[in-house]
Amino acid sequence: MEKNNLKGWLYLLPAFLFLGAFMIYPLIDVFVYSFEEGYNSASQTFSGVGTYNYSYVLHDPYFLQALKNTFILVIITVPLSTGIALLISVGLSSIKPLRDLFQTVYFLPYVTNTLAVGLVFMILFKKTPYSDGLVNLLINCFGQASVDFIDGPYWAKMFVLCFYTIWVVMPFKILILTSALASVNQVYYNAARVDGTSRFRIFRRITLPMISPMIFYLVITGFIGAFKAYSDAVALFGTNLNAAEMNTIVGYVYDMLYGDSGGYPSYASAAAIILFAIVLTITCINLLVSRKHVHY
Amino acid sequence: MKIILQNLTKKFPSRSKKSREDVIAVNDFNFEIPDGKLVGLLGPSGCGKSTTLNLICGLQKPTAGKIFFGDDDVTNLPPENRGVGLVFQNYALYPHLTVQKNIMFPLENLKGKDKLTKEEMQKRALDAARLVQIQELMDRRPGELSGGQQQRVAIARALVKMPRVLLLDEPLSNLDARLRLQTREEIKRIQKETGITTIFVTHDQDEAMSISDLIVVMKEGVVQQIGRPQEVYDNPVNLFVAKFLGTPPINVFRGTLRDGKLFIGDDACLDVLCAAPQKALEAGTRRGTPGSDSAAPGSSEPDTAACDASGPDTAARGSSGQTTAARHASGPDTATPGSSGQTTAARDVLVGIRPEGFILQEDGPLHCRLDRLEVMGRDVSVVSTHECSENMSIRSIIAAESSVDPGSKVVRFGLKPSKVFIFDKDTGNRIS
Ligand SMILES: Nc1ncnc2c1ncn2[C@@H]1O[C@H](COP(=O)(O)OP(=O)(O)OP(=O)(O)O)[C@@H](O)[C@H]1O
Ligand SMILES: [Mg+2]
Repeated sequence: MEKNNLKGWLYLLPAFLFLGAFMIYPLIDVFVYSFEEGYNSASQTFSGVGTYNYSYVLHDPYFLQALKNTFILVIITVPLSTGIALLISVGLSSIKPLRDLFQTVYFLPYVTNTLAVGLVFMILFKKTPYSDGLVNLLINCFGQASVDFIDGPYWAKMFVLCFYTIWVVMPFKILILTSALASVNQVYYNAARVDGTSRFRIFRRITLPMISPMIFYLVITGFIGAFKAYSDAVALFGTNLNAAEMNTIVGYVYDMLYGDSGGYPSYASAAAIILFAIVLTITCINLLVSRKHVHY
Repeated sequence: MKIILQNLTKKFPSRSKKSREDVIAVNDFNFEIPDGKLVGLLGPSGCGKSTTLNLICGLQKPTAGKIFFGDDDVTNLPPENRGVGLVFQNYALYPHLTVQKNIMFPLENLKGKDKLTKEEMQKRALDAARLVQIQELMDRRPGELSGGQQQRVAIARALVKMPRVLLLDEPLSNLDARLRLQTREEIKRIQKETGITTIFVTHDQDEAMSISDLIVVMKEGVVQQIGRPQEVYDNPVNLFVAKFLGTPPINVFRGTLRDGKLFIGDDACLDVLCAAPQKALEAGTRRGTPGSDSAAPGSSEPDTAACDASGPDTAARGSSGQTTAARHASGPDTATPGSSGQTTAARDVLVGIRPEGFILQEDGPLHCRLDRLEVMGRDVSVVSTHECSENMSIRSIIAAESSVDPGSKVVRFGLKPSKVFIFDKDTGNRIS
């Protein structure tokens, strides 16, 4: 028994070393950085230890803007994308003909290059000297004035960002959910039908619980992914996100490190730790909620 | 609730490119299941048993034919509205719900005037659980139950809404031998207590014989025979049914009918009366109106008969209800058949002899090479061979007291005529 244990640890050692070097150590390092006040990257010295970095970050209007943007993004896109993906998957699994075709179509965005996707969104939303973008054409059809989605009002830009995020994550969610739906044994549906269950109740009482582990997985990874959003905003609004009021927390961290106003690893670390704390809290809440509603 | 199946047919379109022929899973079923009976649907794998159940509960639509529950035509009713309880082969309990919620599930679907309050539902669920004796398990999940307990939960779930018809699809196939015995008794008890018309699918003939009021034997989508278990056992309409029922299985020999005698090899084993009119036999048993009280089989038969007692009296004992004692012939010399055509010309036949149809006799007509004896306490099973046997070995069961010398090469048997069935060599239909 003892010997077996030793062997087990030995087998785990490579994984531990890897995790330690590339996950745990950086995490601790960032944690340490975030408490070092007045850090000078040139001389690699610092003047004291304390929570000043946190207080600076929390009072920085750019950070607050980024925090607000990130939360709006998370709260809108995670439920919406999961819900729409669920609807589409249920639709997909209830049709017989052309199902493969539709599945492929819905999966296309996933394999499409980000830049190509950016171009598509340009065509949809961007105002150029020649056109106002397809969406504006539509709006004009209904007799409304054009909206500048890329350089215009805050809500318009937020709409585009959310739209883009949902659109990008959708294929993966649909893929996961269609396979989850397909894996529900038909016999449960038959049993429910014989027992006189309505279609809606079958969905609510049988389908949903049965695929709940997958939905839960999508929600958790969705939350984490949305909190870490950055590249999508860059693809849409360019690198100067602060000016566009479209920065995210990760964007803020990046700017603090490498941006034009960069060179402040301490502030970056503090912001990163705050993000870490938020994601951790949300994930814990998710796990607690799931214990009641997810059936493995 | 009486169930009537009328010309019920189910075809599945052929998937293979080679043959365009449809799969006929259920072929022109016509029968009536009387109210409150337990019916065993019996047949080898793939003969269409599950399909029949699915048609009755509405999960599949028949290609042709009609289904009646009582006087209602339910052929086009969706399963939701048929009011049947179905116990699936693998139980299909909802894994995410507790036993109680599983049992209550059908009740929660009730709408309108049938709608129940929460308390009523709980009470009915508890009643159903009591019936199958699982009331202590109400808070567990299906994953935390044994196979037998799961099965009882499935039965409770099917019973709780008081179905008009209860269908069980091989409910015992996942249980071990002992639990299987116990549960089948339980099913019988529950069925008796509730009086719900029940159809029970199995491919285990023991199971079907032991608890059914009626059995329906199927083969390749066609009903072979319907009747009370003992009736079908004692009077099979064809070789398939004869082979399918009984453990150990029936022994089949190649034989010849010549001069009113049945020959197996060179041994003249039985005197055979006129070949029973096949039509009467079929009419008697195919349609098999159940419940007709024919005399208990075997009661009127000369069990003690030696080898030359004659012909089985089984032919007319179907629905007609009359035992045809007149058919018993007396001696070998008087066996003058009415119709001579069939008896004078030699005719090759297949002979089925039940293991219990052999009698150990010093001067018995049937000579077999003794292989070995298997002592089973209550009785002895004699394993022997014969050149005309279709099986590898002949298995006969004799009382333990009778003595066979294990060293002897040859064993001689007399036959009980009521346990000997003669079938047409080609069609397998019963001749006598
Ligand atoms: N959906 C289907 N499509 C095509 N053929 C089918 C379908 N369902 C059943 N069959 C065919 O119909 C026949 C009867 O099937 P069924 O499931 O009723 O058999 P069964 O008697 O229940 O057998 P078992 O004892 O193995 O459960 C089989 O030959 C099967 O291949
Ligand atoms: Mg089956």
